[in-house]
Amino acid sequence: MDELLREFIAETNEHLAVLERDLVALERAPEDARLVDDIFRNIHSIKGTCSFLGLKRLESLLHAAENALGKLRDEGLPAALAATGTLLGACDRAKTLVAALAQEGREPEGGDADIVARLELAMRPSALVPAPAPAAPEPSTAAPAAGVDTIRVNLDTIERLMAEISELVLARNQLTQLLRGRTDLEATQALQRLSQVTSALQESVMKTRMQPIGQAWAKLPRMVRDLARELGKKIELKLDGSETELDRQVLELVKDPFTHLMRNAADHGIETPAQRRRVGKPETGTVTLSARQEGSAIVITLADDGRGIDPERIRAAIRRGGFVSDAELKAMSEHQLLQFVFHPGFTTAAQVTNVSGRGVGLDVVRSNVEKIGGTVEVASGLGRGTRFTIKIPLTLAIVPALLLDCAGQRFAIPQTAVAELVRSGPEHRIEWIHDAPVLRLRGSLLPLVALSDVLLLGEERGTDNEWLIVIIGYGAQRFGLMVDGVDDAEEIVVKSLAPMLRGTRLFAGSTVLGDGSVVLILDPGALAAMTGASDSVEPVRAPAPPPQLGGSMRGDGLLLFRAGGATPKALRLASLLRIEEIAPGQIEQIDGKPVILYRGAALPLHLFGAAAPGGRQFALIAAHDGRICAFVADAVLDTVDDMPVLDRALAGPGLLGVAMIGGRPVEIVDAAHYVTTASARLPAPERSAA
Amino acid sequence: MSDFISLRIGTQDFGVPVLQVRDVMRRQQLTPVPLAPRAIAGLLNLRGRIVTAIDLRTRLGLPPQAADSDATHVVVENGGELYALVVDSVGDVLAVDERQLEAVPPGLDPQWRAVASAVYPTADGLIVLLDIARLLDMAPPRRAAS
Repeated sequence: MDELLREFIAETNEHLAVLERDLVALERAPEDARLVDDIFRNIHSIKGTCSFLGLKRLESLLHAAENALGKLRDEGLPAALAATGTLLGACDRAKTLVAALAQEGREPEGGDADIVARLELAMRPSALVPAPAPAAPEPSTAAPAAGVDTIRVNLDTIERLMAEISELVLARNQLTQLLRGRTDLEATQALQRLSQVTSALQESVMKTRMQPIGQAWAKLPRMVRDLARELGKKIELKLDGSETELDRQVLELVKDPFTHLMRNAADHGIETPAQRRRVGKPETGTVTLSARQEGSAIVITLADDGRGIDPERIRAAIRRGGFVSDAELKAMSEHQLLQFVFHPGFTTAAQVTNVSGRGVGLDVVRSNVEKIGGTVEVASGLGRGTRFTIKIPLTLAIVPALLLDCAGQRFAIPQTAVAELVRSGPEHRIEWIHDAPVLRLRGSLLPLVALSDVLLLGEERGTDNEWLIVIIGYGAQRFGLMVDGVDDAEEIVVKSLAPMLRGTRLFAGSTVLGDGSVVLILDPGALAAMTGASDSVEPVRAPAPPPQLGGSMRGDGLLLFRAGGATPKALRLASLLRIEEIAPGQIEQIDGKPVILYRGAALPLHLFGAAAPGGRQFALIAAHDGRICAFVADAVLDTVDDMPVLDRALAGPGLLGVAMIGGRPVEIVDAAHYVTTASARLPAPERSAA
Repeated sequence: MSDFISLRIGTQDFGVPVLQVRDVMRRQQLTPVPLAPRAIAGLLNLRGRIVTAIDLRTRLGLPPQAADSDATHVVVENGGELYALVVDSVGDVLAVDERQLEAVPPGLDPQWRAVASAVYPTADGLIVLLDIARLLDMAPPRRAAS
């Protein structure tokens, strides 16, 4: 039998068992909305797999069940009482079908019009009369065991095995100590043998828990192919980093989310070939799935180059669904707004298709990811695509770590987060800006933080002391961690902390070292957050600010943008009027000076350098004292809270100075300078708008 | 009847359900946890598992023990995690007759009332029976300095 089918049968039997249990529970507690959500998700999951395996009969059966349930959910829950019986009947039928599938490798002939009719009846408001108890399921032979060469092992069993092996390692180490210096050949040979076996055993057990993420992706190419056909689209799937190893249990739990996100990208993200042609994109849409380890997390991203998410539609859907008050909705940033796609019951789809759009799916993704302590976020640029980022903590994973000394105690930090080590001294002097230490390293200012201060280990040390600086790169951020010394490197197994210790947030877990001692593992992400810089300099590779386009800007923050060179620049939002996307042909020369036609007037333009070839361009229109001018930007990156200027050494005409934002230097542009030297009278309509 | 192990801190006897006790050990090397709640004595390695040690004296608001005196770790399990209760010494297993249990007196220190499940009077004195889950439910840890 097809491997896919075999796996599907094993999974579906489990899903159906859960479904049955939940339906029975719902009968007793019909007001439990969470239970309804669970049931919904469950049916949706099975149905999704059915559709790409081509199991038409099961699919239509489950589709009818899902419809009935959806109707009940929308109409208020007491009606669920009447329908659970009918739904259980559908569940029984599904079980029979799966059992037959397991035996014959294909769906049995026949139809389920009887069940579908009963489900449709249950959807009518008049069906508040309890349905008759479902007929006893057709006597079906118990589903035969599916897999043969794999078994499912309880994770506890492996955990215990791991613990026992750790103990074995310690015993072996003790024995090595005892026999050291002895010339007794037989004893040393036996010890050597024991040693080898112990190491091999340790490795095997660790391996049993790790699997390349590619295994969870194995189904996706076929699924994408089928989806593309079904939807009449051209989709190319790119997989990147499929060798990244993930803990087995973690992998199981992220399988479903991948399926959901992929369906979502195919259905909502990628446009039809005709639509893509019209907006000048290649006919074939691309979905890129990539995985990598980053600091204390495995980061998985799924990005498409489709139509993106329209924040206005999200806003409308939130209002329609009544998820938050209007006041809250107003206060929400675009980023917060977008995260609503993970809300249970949330949907922007006007039409329910067979593929997705029922408002289940993305909340399944979030609940599965959160179950393993992960996070999922969405970023999007209208017309440019959507990117989902799943971060899974490395709990359970094995990581190489560096051991640091701080105030007489040792701490571990994942080596992947360590960029380099620098010893402070005459060559690398720690300097202070007010009470914030910084390090000048290869022409940039690196914020520093003393680990003993962060951990309140309270040892007062002179500022001129020698420190070892561990330079941490986390996402886009870089900062230096001041410690007393670096000890050693070791492969560690991360163990989670007891619940009462998790709130400190600075520790990713703890581990037992080879010598039997326990050390705490620092979480580079939490340390990065403490340096005060946020991780938001580059939220999306091609970040555009769709809601601000053409809208007016206000606030006290800074707008980060890129123009003429790699160093990001920033403008105070207070001086910014609008951002407009401009076409290359819009820039004209008057008197040898570049201008842009804006609302019927020629607006002086400042270019910071040659524009990036072929890319989009934006005009940042700034005002000062009733005069305006525009700056040309290649990319608008983000908005951040205003930052004090760190380094005024570089200040000059047009440049207020340099600030460190997100661990990188940013040039703060003096808008007033440009506006007064090359400006035009503010067009009348703008004055009232400003 | 249910069985309890008696623990001693200073002159006071306590009891914890024997079914939750996994091990009793002499004082172990502890790894302190910065920023943790005060009652957390540290972490220790018990056959490859990491155990969170709780200083019962601090937890109950008692003065700390003299540094050179003996201490014993009583390892208990709660919610799948192991915890070591740091106490002065461990006594016998008591077979407790539930009918003889007394309610926790209302005048008792609130910190004690929060973690005591009952009082068991014996010929030698009163034994305060402890509820482990409530013992482990403590104020959230301090947040990192910023």
